[in-house]
Amino acid sequence: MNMRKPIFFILSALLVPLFQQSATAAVKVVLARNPRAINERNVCNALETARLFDRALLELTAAKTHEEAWKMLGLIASDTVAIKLNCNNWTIALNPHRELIDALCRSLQSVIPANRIIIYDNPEAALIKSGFSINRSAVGVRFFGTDHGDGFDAGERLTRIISATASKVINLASLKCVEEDMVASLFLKNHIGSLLPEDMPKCHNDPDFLAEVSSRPSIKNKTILNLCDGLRGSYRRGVPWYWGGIIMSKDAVAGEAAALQVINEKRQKEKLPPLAEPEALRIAEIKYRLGSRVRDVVQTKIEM
Amino acid sequence: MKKTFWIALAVLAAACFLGEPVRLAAFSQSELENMVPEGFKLSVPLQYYGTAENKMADGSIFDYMDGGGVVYLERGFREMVHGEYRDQHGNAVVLDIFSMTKSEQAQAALNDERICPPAGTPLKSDFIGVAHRFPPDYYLYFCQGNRLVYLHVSNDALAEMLKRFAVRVQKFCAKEKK
Repeated sequence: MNMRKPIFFILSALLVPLFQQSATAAVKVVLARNPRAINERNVCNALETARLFDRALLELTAAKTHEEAWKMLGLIASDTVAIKLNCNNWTIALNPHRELIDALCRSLQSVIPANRIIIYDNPEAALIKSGFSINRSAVGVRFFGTDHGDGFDAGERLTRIISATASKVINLASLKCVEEDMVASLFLKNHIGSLLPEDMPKCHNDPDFLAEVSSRPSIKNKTILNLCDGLRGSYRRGVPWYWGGIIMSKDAVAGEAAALQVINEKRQKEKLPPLAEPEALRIAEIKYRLGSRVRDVVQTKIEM
Repeated sequence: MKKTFWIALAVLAAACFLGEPVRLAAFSQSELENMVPEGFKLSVPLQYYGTAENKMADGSIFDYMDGGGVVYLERGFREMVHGEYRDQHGNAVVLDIFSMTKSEQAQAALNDERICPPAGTPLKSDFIGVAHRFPPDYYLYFCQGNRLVYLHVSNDALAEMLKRFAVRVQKFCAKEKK
């Protein structure tokens, strides 16, 4: 009997998973904090916020320069980048901080010109209310809403800002606890604002829908970075705290799981029960393969 | 009597033809429009929201607060009016008056931690409600009859001004019909 074949199969069975594991071990999440980036009245220090952002980006990509970092994330000189914000400020202002957006845009400009950066939310009024000025001109970073944007893609039922205009997408969520069925409003929920307005309410009590939106090609294939503004977050509905940090990952699922962990650490300190893992997150990982919750995730914590 | 009936029917039919959404019949709109916090002006017209089945001029509660509306519906939410005000320094005040079907439901909404966080400071005098200070935010919730009122100011140094405005809103709600 030729023993070579069975030995080969046994060795393959043992070694292949090891190689697979090392191949997928690249999921990285950076949790970076800088207490000097924000004060107790929600005022950011631009310089310290930029330092925080720069440090996290270079850590995530293991790059030496911004240009190198963005290229490692897949950005090329001909790209147009759409950045989705969450400006829904109901009860407590948790819109992304201007200083963080400025740091992000400055960094992107190491590869692309300012005018090929589009910052959007739905509706435009939410951007204005959050202190941003609308800019559709050919000069500077563009700011506008999906309701005054480029229309909606009939197939994907998403704003054409991401389906047609932009070639890359950055998901900029806020660290927001909403409890109820969604638990938190993070990366998955943020893209509900990229939908046709009539589809937005479908995400309520439908975790499959919530997860599926992020699996649509324009989001899944174009997203190069998920960034969560946790300078000020909420750990229970309507109750904010100054975490003073940001969470960054290429993987939306891993990033969201890390953000939930941050919220739960605060809840533990406040003697509150931990938030349950959202069903949408599990579906996003298992059914839509949008990332990894825990397995093969490497978390790097930075305290500045 | 007949004449009144026909006039009412004609007005109703005209409203249907024009497709005008039904506004908050229970509120004196002009009075509400003129009632602003000291030093503030309405920054956008008052907005009116109903339920998904019974939308108002600006849509349903989901158009206003997204998924958070589910909790209010559980508490008997019928309709709401939303006001936004700004002063010359850029400070912002938000007023929300939620109308529930019954007074007990407004009270239950106030006690619902998913709506009003616990550990707030009880409001003094005639108010049934609580205040929260999370610098720079300051907000309060109180009940008046079947209504739950939410008031927020973006700068907690203006907390006393907000409380004075709350007294006026409370009086307004007290004299309004259900």
